[in-house]
Amino acid sequence: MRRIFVILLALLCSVGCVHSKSLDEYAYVLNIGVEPGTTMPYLVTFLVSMPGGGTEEITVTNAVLSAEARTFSEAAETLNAAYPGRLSFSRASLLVLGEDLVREGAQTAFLDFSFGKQDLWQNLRVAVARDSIKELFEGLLTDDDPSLRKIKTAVSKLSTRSGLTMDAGYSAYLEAVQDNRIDAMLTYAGVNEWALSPDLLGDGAYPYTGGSLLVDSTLKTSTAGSAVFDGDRMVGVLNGQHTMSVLMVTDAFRRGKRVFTLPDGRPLVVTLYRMRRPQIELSGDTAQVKLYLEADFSQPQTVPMDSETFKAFVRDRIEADLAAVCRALQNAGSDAMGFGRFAAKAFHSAAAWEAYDWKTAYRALKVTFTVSLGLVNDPRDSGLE
Amino acid sequence: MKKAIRDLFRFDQPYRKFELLETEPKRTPSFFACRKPKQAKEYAIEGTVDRDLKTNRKRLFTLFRGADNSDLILRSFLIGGRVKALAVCLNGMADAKQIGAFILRPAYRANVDGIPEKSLPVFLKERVLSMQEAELCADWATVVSAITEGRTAVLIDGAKEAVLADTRGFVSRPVGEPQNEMTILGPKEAFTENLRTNVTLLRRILKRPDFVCRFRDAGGTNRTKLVIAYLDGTVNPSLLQELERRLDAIASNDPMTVGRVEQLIEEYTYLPMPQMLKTERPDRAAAAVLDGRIALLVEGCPLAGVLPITLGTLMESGEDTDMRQPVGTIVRLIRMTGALLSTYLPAYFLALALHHPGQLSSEILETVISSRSMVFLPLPVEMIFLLLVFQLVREAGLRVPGAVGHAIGIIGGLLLGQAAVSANIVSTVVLIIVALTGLGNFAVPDYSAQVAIAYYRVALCIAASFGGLLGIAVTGLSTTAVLASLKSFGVPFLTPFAPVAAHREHLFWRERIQNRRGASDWANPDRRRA
Amino acid sequence: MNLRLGAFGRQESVSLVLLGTFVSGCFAIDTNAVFRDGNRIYLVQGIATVLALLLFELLTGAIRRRGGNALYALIGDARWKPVLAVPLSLALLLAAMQPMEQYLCAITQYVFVETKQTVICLYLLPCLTLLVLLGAETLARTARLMLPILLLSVLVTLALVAAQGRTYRLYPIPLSDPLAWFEQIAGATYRAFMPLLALLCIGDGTQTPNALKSAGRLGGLLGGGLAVAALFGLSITFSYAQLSGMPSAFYRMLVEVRAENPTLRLDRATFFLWMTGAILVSAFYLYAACVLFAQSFGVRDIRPLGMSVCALAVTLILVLYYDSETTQAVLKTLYRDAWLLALLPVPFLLIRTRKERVVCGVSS
Repeated sequence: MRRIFVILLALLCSVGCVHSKSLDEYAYVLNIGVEPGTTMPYLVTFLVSMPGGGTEEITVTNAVLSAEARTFSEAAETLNAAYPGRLSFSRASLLVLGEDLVREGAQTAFLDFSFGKQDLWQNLRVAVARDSIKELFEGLLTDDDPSLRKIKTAVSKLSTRSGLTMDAGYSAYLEAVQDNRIDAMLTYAGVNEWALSPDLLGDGAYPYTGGSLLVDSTLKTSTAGSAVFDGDRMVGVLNGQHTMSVLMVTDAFRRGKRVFTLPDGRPLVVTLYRMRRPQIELSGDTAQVKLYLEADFSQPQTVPMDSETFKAFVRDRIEADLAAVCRALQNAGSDAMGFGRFAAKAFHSAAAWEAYDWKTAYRALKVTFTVSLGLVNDPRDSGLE
Repeated sequence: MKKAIRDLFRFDQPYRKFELLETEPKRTPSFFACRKPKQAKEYAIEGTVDRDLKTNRKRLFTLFRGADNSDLILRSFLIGGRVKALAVCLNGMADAKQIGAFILRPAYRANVDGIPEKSLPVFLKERVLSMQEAELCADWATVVSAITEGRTAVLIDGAKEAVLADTRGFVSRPVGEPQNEMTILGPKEAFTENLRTNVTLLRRILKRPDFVCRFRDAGGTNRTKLVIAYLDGTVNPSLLQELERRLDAIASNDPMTVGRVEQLIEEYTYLPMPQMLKTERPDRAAAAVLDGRIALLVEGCPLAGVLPITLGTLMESGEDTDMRQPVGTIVRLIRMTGALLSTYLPAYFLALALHHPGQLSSEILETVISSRSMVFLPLPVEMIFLLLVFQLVREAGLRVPGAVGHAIGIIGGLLLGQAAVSANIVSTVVLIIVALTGLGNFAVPDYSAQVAIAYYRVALCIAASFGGLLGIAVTGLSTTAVLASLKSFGVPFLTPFAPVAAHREHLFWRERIQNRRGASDWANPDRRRA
Repeated sequence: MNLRLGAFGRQESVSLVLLGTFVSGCFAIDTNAVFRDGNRIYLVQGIATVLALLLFELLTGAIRRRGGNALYALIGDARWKPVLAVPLSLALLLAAMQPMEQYLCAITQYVFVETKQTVICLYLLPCLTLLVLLGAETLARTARLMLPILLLSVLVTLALVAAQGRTYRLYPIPLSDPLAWFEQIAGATYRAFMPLLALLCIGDGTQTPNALKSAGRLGGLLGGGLAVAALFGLSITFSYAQLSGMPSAFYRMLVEVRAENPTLRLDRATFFLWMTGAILVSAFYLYAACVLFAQSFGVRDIRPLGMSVCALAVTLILVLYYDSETTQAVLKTLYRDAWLLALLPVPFLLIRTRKERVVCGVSS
């Protein structure tokens, strides 16, 4: 009797066979891109990787596939039929939204419905593409390094290293769209030889990155600056230096280089470090923002100022930049600096907060910035002299 | 030659090959019926020794099938030239020199004048026989049992008792080194098949008066001698009582070994996990006895069974306590890591590769895919196949003696593995995983536990291939629960973790020798301070 | 009576209650209802823990006065048995279903997306049944074994959350709307009280009244504290708007905090590890329900009852997915108002002040 029971139990368990496929039967989608389609609402593009090869050599076949569709799952099924290997989204790590799509806010409908039903990695990074997403994905393919993941990781880590672009996750984007307290700021990407998009402050002359754009490289895709949103609509672009200013206020900045122009016209490169969390106080229609930074500049002997003058010089310029960026964001209606996070503290119910017209109050907010700057390793401060 | 060739081509000759004829009644059983085996006749040996020597002789001759058993020796002689007596023994079991020197020669010279016949056995035992061990016995079953053990029964005409003299002199293997429990720092003696020798080996370590070796026998008609060794006053009396009760209930007629006794007295016979530790080493058995446990020795088996045990007991090796404490701890950590890796690594890999590829890093994914590009077997089949082949190579190496056995391990490991990869039967990644698994398995000191883990691993692989991490989680939880419910002679198997005991027998941490204070409390010893 | 209670020590019973309080507090929340109008769950959980412990103290006092060591001592009277035992058993059954249902939802949403719920249940059912059949001793020991590793994984996750979470997500703290507070406190108290109620049902296994009391207090307090910490961590990781309607919020939190972290690739393993805790707790509740039912109605052997109850629990979970809207609506109402089933009989139990020795007739 016991034997029969055990056999029945084993049969019962084996009936519950969860669908499995072998590793090599999948084509792994690494990047997902969405932009407006011509014949259908959306043009969905996948960057797909199919590892293969043999024992002696590993080969990876990368392909960029596109399909127009009404929903995400429709696009996935269309491409499943057209490509060998069933698409697996378990390794997807980047979601790119076309600029034309996000300017209208049309991505919300696409992301709400069938997107959440896929076996997607829950911590996708999100970016906005200036150019065609197909070109953007093709620009990531290079013969130099077969590991696409490493390239993408390097690009996404640019934010932490340089502070010039935003490393935004899907969860942060969702929070910005669903919640009213902060607006999204996403990585802005494009391919080489792209024309400079007009920065929100109209500052087109300033470089996007610390130096010049890459114009001749096997890696044609680059990121620089960020796209700022008001809810689910993109309202503008900030260049790298202005993005750094916003990151300082949202406490996403760790270190980065800024270029200042000395009175004699020479450029001065200063590395800035975050010392402490910024303090933001909101009361009525005023906001006080205090930042704690440390500056480290190369070749101090070339700077014709003493330490205190120099500190004041750098501090004033940072504060001015912060104020300018804040005004531009207020005018655009984007609370990318997240003042709404502190405004909500005054409310004692979600309904009251949701009924409150925060954006109107935000536009009228008077913000003052104070930067506390320290200098690192200033030889002029040495006690020996 | 001509006849052989002619016979080759003749088909009219009856078939000469022997066939085992059916002795059952002629009827065709149904497809589903199981034929019950014939009941074995009970050979009851009852009664007592008869006064008449001829009756006794005849009875012994019949009982021992004297007509067929030519090694039965019935040696008639006269005690003191006057009284008829009979010495009965089995050739080869009894030492002929001892019989001659200590029974026959003194018996011839004995002066039995004036001694009544009924007192002759006592006289013989106290004044004539000069061996170390001699006892009187009237029970016929005991007399027969003594003869089968190699003792000599001396029956006297007119007396109702026989004298059983210890003349055992059968050939046995000398004390050698343990084959399966090699040590570097510890002693290198191992048990033998001789029960007396094994008891001696224990007594050389436990030189204390409260160390008891209780001799008894167990079994159906084929009674086997065993010894229950324990520390009187330390061991839990109810444990002893329960063990005796279970041994009394054994009715099997098979020859007894420690492994068979274990299966006959344990509670959970369907579980692969052993409930008794089997060790070749006297020092390990002695340490267990000092800890308040019982060592069971069986005649004819060069192992001692230690009970009760816990999982920690199975994971300890004999020389853990011989090493320095930090080194002992590191070795235990490595052993536990090996055991865990060996149990879960193949299943975890299968689960990730089949159901959760997103959990694998890109580099591993690409390596696995490229290594499997030409392999035709599905991944779960490949993994289970390799695991079973590993066990096959191991079993083959164990069963084949000497240098050939070692060579099989090398051949199986290197050549077969390499050839299988070249032939695209298996992939390199899976081969490495199975090799690591095998190494981890060997880190488990107990052979029974190794085998149990080896087959549990296959079950885990099947669960992982069906249900991924869900299958592993559910199987792992079920197994943990079953182990938590398991008891080894009343002691929960996962002591001292669940339930928590005062004396921590650490799985990972080797406690300092200076901190050891008497017997472990989880066996509920009578007196902890040994 | 073969109730398979056995005997287990203090650490085992504390582990069982701790796990139960944590799992029920964190993995049995209906995010739609709880986060609809703001996030007050971590405050509510703290209050609920205190209330549940208070109820526990009252019940243990009443049991001691009756001279017994388990809840059955208060239900011994034949007239009251069905009225008291059935709602409590039903409450335990519903409490057992909640974490399983949440995990089922999470598995089909995030892990095995193309698989039906029935298939997943075919894995859960045998394990659940085995745990219930093995009895209280085994459940307690398994909890003792699982606790360190579960605790470690939860604490590591919370440490990562503490480094990355932001307190602004706690606001606005909804202090108004007393009805919403009452509803949430009632629901949370029910969830916090269930492990304590289950412990009272199997009280004979704890061997002494002092062990029973200390296990309940310590387990309830530690489990409640851990649940509060975990819910607070969840609250600083996601805002209320994100949490509302989010399936398996803790798994999302796990993935969120482990991005670009060496422990990134252990999130699924951690998820299933927590699931084993949830299965264990569900088995604990189901077993306690069976014991209470068996003692109240004289069922001699718990094994057939245990198998039936496990099958019933899994079937009811599947009803949520497959059956008609009416049945689903009824079940959802039962989930929401399960606290009535658990808490209403309690005053009737407490008014039993006659000092009689009740013979339970329990054997393990």
